[in-house]
Amino acid sequence: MKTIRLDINGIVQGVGFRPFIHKLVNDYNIKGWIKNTSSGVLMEIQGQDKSLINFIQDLIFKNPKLSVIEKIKVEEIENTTIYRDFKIIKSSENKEKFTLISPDVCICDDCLRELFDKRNRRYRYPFINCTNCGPRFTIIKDIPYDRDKTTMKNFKMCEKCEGEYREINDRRYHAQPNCCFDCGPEIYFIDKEGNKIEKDPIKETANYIREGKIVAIKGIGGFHLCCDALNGETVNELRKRKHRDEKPFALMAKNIESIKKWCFINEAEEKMLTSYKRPIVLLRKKYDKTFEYISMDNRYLGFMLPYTPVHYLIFEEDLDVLVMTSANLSDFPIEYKNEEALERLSSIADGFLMNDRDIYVRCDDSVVREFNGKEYPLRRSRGYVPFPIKINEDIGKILACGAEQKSSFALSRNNYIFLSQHIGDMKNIETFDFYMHQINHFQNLFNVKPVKIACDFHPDYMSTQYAIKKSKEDGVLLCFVQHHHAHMASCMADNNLKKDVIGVIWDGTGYGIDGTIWGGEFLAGNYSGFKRLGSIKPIPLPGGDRAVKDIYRIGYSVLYETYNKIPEDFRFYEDYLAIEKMLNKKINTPYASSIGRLFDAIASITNVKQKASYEGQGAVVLENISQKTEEYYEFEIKDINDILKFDWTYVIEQVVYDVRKNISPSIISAKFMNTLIYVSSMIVERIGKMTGIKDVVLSGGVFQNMYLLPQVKRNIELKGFNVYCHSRVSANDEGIALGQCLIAYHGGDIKCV
Amino acid sequence: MDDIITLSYGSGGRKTSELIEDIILPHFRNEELSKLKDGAVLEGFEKMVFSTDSFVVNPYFFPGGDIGKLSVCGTVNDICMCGGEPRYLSLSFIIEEGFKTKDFLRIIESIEKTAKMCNVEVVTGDTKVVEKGKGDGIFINTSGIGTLKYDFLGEDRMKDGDLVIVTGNIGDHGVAVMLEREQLFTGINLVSDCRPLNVLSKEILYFKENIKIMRDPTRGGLATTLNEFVEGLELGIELYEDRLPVSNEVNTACEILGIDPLYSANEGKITAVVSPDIAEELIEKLRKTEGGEKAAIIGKVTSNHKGRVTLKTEIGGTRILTKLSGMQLPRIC
Ligand SMILES: [Fe+3]
Ligand SMILES: [Mg+2]
Ligand SMILES: [Zn+2]
Ligand SMILES: [Zn+2]
Repeated sequence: MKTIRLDINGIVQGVGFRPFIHKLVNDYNIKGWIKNTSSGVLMEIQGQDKSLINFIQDLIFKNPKLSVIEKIKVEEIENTTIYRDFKIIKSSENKEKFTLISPDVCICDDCLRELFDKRNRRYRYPFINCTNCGPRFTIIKDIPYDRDKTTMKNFKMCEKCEGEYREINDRRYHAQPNCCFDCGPEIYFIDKEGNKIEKDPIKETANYIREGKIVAIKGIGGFHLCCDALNGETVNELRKRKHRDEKPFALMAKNIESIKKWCFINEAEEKMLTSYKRPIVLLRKKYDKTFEYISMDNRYLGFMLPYTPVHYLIFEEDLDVLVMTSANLSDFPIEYKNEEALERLSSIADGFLMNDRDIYVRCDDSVVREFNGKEYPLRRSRGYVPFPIKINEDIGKILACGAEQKSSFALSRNNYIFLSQHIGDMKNIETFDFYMHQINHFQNLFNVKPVKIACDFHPDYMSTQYAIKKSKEDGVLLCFVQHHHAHMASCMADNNLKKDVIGVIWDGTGYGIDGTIWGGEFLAGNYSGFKRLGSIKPIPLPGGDRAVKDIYRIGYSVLYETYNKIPEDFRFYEDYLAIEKMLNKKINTPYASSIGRLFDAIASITNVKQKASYEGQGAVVLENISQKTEEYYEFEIKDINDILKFDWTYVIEQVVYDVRKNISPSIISAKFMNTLIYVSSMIVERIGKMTGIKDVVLSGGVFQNMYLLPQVKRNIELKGFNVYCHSRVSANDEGIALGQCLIAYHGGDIKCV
Repeated sequence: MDDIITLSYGSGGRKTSELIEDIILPHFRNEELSKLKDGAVLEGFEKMVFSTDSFVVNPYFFPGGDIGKLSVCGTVNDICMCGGEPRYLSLSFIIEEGFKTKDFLRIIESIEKTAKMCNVEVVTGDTKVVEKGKGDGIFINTSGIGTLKYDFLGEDRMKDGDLVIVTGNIGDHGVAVMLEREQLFTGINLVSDCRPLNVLSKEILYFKENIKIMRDPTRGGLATTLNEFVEGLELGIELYEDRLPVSNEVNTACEILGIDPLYSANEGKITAVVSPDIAEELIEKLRKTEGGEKAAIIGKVTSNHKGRVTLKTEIGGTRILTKLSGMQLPRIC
């Protein structure tokens, strides 16, 4: 007989790990004890040699679906005590308190069965959950994960629930949010006037939806605005009330069959849709005209499947597909508190499906798409956060403050990098408050006091200003990281690369080290430094950010650069003379070497989009209308001060020629994108020859374009390079914080203070 | 600090503060200058206000004024903002070789006229001429001394619930000068608001201790000045977009230029934090005074969002109005 001490790290709390262990010790006749520690679980087990080995093997290979074992330390100790049974000992807090926390998980099959089982005591109970499912991250205030440190603290378990909670063989053993009709939270319906309606809240919600009304539904990480997706009139009304002109809405469908009516789904996509993370998955429409009023600019629809008991109950009322969009006023973060939601959403929602279980932190739905059979994240949030991105080196404790519009932050702890949930555009104070609150919350949850703070090099980002202030207050070193270097490092870390790479970083806007705006960059280097070896001819932005909204200004701008004037047949608006003067005199006209802006220019010149109602719309529309063709435009690459620059003026001349010949924008758009594909592979090839580097990473928001991404990758591969794309974090600015962490650790920041 | 001083160090934003606090102040550390107010309150036979300003503007003649008028108003207004009654001015010129005598005379006359309006005397002065190419036509520096009439102004007196007022349309001067310089559009007639604030400030200070702090939001605009009010305080300022007085001309021009009137310079406006008890009455009084016709209550002091200025927009968000580091840089990715 032997005695062994097992120290297990990972996601092992609140995920049915201890009941699983309990069953296992019975199987192998093992005695001893187990307890939760702040870093996982600790156990001392006693048994026969062989049983112990089998036990550990089962532990590793058969662990419950939500648990993740990161590290096991096995240590043989002396047989000083002989154990007679197996006990669970009360949690203890050690000094280095640290534990991984589970993301929120969709309702499990067992709970779903009980939800619709008339004989079950939780039949139709909207908060049914167990150790395999339910809310986690969004209700946890502090660790260790115990009920009194969650928002379930307010609900005292009834005898029956308490019994399940204490019974080690029960699926609800130590399920912290466990509850029932007798003791748990409840749902209720509130009408437009703020009155509680004394009818079945689920049926009332369904009635409202069927009548073409808009209902705000409280979910896991916040409220959704919900209406019948088949009712175009209601959807348009929702657009009007939400001030959301053209940006697509997310949909939720009853089941996978229902989605298949509208979209193509491959195996990988089905797996993503049905995974416990339940992200919104962008799927190819079967017909371009399908749900035009939901997503008018592109060939994709964002679908998700129900993930809370309430969703299932609603769909049971004979509904099929619903709009489920984050409930917020245009630039606010998602609403998550009852009173605030009632107040702020009163101008949008006709009714509210409320409940009295508080949400402690906001968490928006995640958005992914499939690329090469893998997940290609667009927004990594609910279901994923706060699970860390694991990297293959220990970088200690660093806070990275992210970017601005798609802001997020990252907090590292050795090999783990905890990326925040989706936060939003920080131009609003509500979003900025949310951001600051989350940074404190993460520091507390993961017990990290950063020794370095990294931020973007852009002086006016709120995240930069926050970082400067915090670094002063905490007396911590501050590291400025160039935007596109951070994108590159983010894709390197995503793929666990450490060697030198060529980064093709294409996005909209990022502050360059020369004080101009970048966005069409070819960088060579690694975490500790980079050289800018390729870029594109800078594009003037008359009016700065104004030009990014009124993209016809960018059309004017590239035409002016090409012809020294705006040709008569492209003067789309009255103000062309003033803009021409601004361009001529460079008044409030910064320059941007940005691919995103080049898309805007083409969208304008082809007259498919002149004003963008959401960021990057020009590019989205061009991707949408493009028709496959092999044609492309001739282009020039010039060596200007040792930077290979794509000079697009010749391309613009050919585009203008095509437009005048009435060539369809669908063809022009494809020819333009084909050109970019050749530009990328040609510049990469030349940089490869100069540097000898063989690995290429693709990052930046432009690589959300599904026409470009696969073809850029393939073309560069054909030149003999290994090409790496994102699969764990987003290619857009949301992913930047990851790269900032690694650059700060490796000293690759810009030393300017 | 960067190795070289770039244009953004003169923008009035954070970089300018950096330049002042890191380079200039350490060498002239005295209690008064360190406060970085618009003027200094000195102890003599009586309390006085002392202030200085240099003027660089292109073009030096613009609709509504010229560099001469500007250089008197600038210093006079700063003295007024400190609660002083302006008395004496110093006047120095740096003139570029080749400057037309006729134009110089016009500027001198404008100075004379404005000084009379403000009831100040120019008591000392200096003139230098620099080689062609080493100046931009003409630079003027004025310093002024006034007697302190109202010694209670200060940001420490602001309270949660106080109201923020402005005496008229914002952004006029900055946009008018830019349009005149660049000759961008026809059909927009914009005039600088350049004017002495001695009368308007008296109207305001009539309400004595009900007035907490006031300033003329020049370079950097209203947003920058209000940031200076609350910087480092346990209070914030919240503005309401629908209450901001902006002329149609400025709005149209700003739309096209892509600039924000809140960051555009004014040369004849006062913004003040006042007690809610007298705010309405004060606005009524100002509206009857020349140059105050468009006065309005535009926001309030709150204990939310400490040290920050925010703007409640018409669609419901709350935009953060920061002090910019320099030019307005694109941030949309
Ligand atoms: Fe970016
Ligand atoms: Mg001054
Ligand atoms: Zn379950
Ligand atoms: Zn119960």
